[in-house]
Amino acid sequence: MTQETNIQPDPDLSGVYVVMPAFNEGAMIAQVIEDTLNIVEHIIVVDDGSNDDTFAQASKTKALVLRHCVNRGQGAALQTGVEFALEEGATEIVTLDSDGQHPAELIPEAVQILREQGLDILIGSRFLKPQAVPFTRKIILKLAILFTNFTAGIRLTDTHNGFRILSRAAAEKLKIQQDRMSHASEILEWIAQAKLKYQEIPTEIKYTEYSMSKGQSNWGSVRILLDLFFSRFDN
Amino acid sequence: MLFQLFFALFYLIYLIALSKKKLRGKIHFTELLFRLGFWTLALVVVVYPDITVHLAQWMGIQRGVDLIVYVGIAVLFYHAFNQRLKHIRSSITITELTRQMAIMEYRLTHSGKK
Repeated sequence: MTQETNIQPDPDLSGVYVVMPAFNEGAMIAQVIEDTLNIVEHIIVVDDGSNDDTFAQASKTKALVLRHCVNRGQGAALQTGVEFALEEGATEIVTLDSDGQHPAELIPEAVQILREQGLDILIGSRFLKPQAVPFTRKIILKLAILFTNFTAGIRLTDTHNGFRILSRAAAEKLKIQQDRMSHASEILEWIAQAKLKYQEIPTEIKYTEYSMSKGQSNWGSVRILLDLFFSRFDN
Repeated sequence: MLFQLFFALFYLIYLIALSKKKLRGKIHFTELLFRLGFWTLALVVVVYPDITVHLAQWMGIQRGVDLIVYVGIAVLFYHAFNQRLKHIRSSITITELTRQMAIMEYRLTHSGKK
């Protein structure tokens, strides 16, 4: 958890909108929003039908808070946030997890890279620089990387990193249909199919006790594979 | 013989119920034909089980009952697969509705606050 500071958001980031899908994050959401507000002015939180006080906690901040009346999954909440950000006039859209594991302080540098290199999307990678990743998490992630690189046809070092920055043009084309966790793989397949200009950026993931308790189970990984398999036939 | 009798009785009752449904306009003609065809075929197989033996041997399967089991499993798999796809499509619709409601609710709540 970072300390609250009085740093003003970078004026160059006035068109940047952060989208945070949140499900039962009442314990941390307000702090994560406050930390991110030190970097970026516009934050959209999509409360995905939480059973706790996520909506109330997020509403206490300056974030724009939307609420799904029923839980539809992280992919669905992300798409809601992206569509809303576009309606609000976003020039770039950043996606972050709402448990505070992604480094919001990286946003200015990442946006600069996206703009200067004319990229469509910049994707975070926890494997581009050495960092401690819990063993079972590392094995699952590496398997996911192998599978996604094979099926999506693009080469990445981290395929399930929620830290992404999309240009407005790219975000307008995004249409996530995988409501739950398999949206991460779906986005990568979309990048390959739409021939988007992408790049990875090293990101450090903060593995706290809280974020680990909110993480996916091993069964979740199996479910992702099943979702992706059936999505092949749904055309 | 007893099973055949029971099945024929069941078939008759089903036929009456189906006719009533059709008369009340509760099912379409194609649905009537499909149901009628399916249960008539089942009755023929129950009354003349040797038919399945001939059919099974023609298809390279030893016993008629094996053929019924194989076909049954294939139909169930096909049905389960289709149901899964229907479920996915329904989910997409529910999500889109939820999304539009969330955005609309925000706009209604915050109209005039900017």
